[in-house]
Amino acid sequence: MTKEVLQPLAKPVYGAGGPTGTWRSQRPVLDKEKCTGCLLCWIYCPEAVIAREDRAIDYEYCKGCGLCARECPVGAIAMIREGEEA
Amino acid sequence: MSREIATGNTACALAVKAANVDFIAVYPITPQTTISEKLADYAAAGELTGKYLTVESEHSVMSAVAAAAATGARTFTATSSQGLLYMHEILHYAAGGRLPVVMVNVNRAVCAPWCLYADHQDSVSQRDTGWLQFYCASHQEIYDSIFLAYKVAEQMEIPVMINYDGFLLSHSMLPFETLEQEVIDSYLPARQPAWRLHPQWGGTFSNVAGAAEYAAYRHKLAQDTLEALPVIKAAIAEYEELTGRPQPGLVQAGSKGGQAGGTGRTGGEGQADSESQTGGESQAEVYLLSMGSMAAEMELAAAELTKQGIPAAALKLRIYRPFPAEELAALLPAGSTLIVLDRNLAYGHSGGALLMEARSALYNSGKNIKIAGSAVGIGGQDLPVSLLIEEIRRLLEVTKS
Amino acid sequence: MLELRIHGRGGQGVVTLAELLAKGAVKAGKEAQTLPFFGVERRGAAVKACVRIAEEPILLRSMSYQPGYIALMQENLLPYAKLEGFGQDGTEPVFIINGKELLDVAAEQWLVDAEKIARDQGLVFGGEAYINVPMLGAVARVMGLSLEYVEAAIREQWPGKKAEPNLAAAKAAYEKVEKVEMAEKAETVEKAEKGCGEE
Repeated sequence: MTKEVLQPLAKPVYGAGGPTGTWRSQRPVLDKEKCTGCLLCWIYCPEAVIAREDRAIDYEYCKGCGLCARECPVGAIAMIREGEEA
Repeated sequence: MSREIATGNTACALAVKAANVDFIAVYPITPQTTISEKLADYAAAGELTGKYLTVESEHSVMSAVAAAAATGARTFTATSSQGLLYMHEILHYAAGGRLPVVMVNVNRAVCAPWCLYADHQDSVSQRDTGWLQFYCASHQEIYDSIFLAYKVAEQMEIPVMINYDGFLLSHSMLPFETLEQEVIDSYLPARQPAWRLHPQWGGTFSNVAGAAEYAAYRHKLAQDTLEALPVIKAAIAEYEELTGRPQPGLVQAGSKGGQAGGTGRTGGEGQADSESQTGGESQAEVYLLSMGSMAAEMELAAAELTKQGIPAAALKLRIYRPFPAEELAALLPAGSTLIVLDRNLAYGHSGGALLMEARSALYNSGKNIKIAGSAVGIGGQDLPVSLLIEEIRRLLEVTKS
Repeated sequence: MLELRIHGRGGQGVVTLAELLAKGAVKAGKEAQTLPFFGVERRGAAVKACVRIAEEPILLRSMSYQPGYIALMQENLLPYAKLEGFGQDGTEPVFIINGKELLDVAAEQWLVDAEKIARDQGLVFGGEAYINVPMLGAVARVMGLSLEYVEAAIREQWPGKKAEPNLAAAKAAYEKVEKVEMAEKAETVEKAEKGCGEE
């Protein structure tokens, strides 16, 4: 007989908090020409929305905190106001 | 007297500031935190008569205020949920030591799982600590209860816990009237303890007691807790006379069947209008008992049910400990039906704590009252009037079967 | 009873807007209640608050599901307003929107560029405009609360010189908020399923 799990359990799920990209007022935009691939942005991103392979940013969940832009040692990431062109 | 609109926690802090409290110790916890912040602001601005102590936990908080009360000080603290549970050991100590601490508990669900919102599990699970427990349904009741609590606590030398719902009252804004300082001072003169802990007195406090001695102290506390009922009534009457402000009784029948307006622009939707008032409690056949913020909304539910052809009246329980059993029985006509909605769960029993209390209080009343109840609003589940009515109608069917 | 539900984002001053409106209503001799919903108190996350204004003491202690008025601090909050519910039984709410274009809802809509009004008055912090004060002016106008009471509430909130840009912003929005007629009636709103998540 298998027992039903009664405990209040939870596991991290990608995007469980909803599309948190709507929280953003500014978005990070990566200049791939300047990027050296040091991966500091990937390490620092608190939302883990920067891909390791190509540093693509998942704007569906990026909250626009700006940590990546602040940490980038070569200034390859700019914070652009939403609604404005990069 | 001035009319203000502020949050429930601000109403609480304003009253505490005015109550000439000698000693305050608070540890922050949601949703109580803004009380501790407001009081700290007053302390920093030099507006508090007493001392404000920051401590490292709720267990220390209750130890500090109980000890301060033993020295003859008028003391205050506030907490919620896990904070109240952490105080549990010293709650017994404060009541057993006959130390008239006044504490506000901003009601919040208890873990697990973790939850920030209102229910009464935290306070009803402290039922047998010997503390008196008041519940509030409005900001005016929060403000007024602070003064009533000190009056009763210091006369009976029993601590009082004032409870009100987290967020629904603590963080919402509602208007209330404050009192002039002279009025408060005349209602609440400086505390006059029969005894106080002091180095020059040279004795000790709460030493080891044998069974006979211990039992005598504890039976006396149990007896005095019951005798607090007339004391609370007298304190309410004196407050009414002094302020000219009518106060709800220990258990209060709804003053009206409903209010004009509802949720729309022009009012009306889902709400009773003024012509459908219950027209006096004597006409009601169904009585709706609850405590906390839900008790205010139950007046609207009663009005709506009356409109739907079920003459109903709301009963708001203001004092949970001591339980006003006779007062409740007196409000209920023979053969009537009592529906009890609890915002807590009585595990191992149906419904919640208030349902058990009501059944026990009415068992020997000889009035043949049908009773049913359930637990709603757990963990802050929102309770719109429509949901209350749905649940009441379901319970009415239960009483018929 | 008048009932307003405000949808905004953490950091936009939704709770302050609700409180100032309620304070203004009490100054006008009315009964009022604010009922903020706390949960995601994070900058940028969707937040909401209710305000009730009545002639008699307010006994409701629950959130508002069919408000007569809905204020949107940002156009992209419409899905949250839909999720929370409105407009059943033909009682469409009046919308007061910080924005320039009509939203796709079959309801009366008032538009105000609160962002521009705030920036014009220098109500900017960290690059973000304080839109709650102009929205207060706009909401008061649409709900029929006289500007003088709003001004009194603002003066109480920000004593001295700090009140001035706030008073100017509230007044500008009070005057500029505009009811915009729809060219054609939009389709009836369907309950939003996407765009809100589990917040």
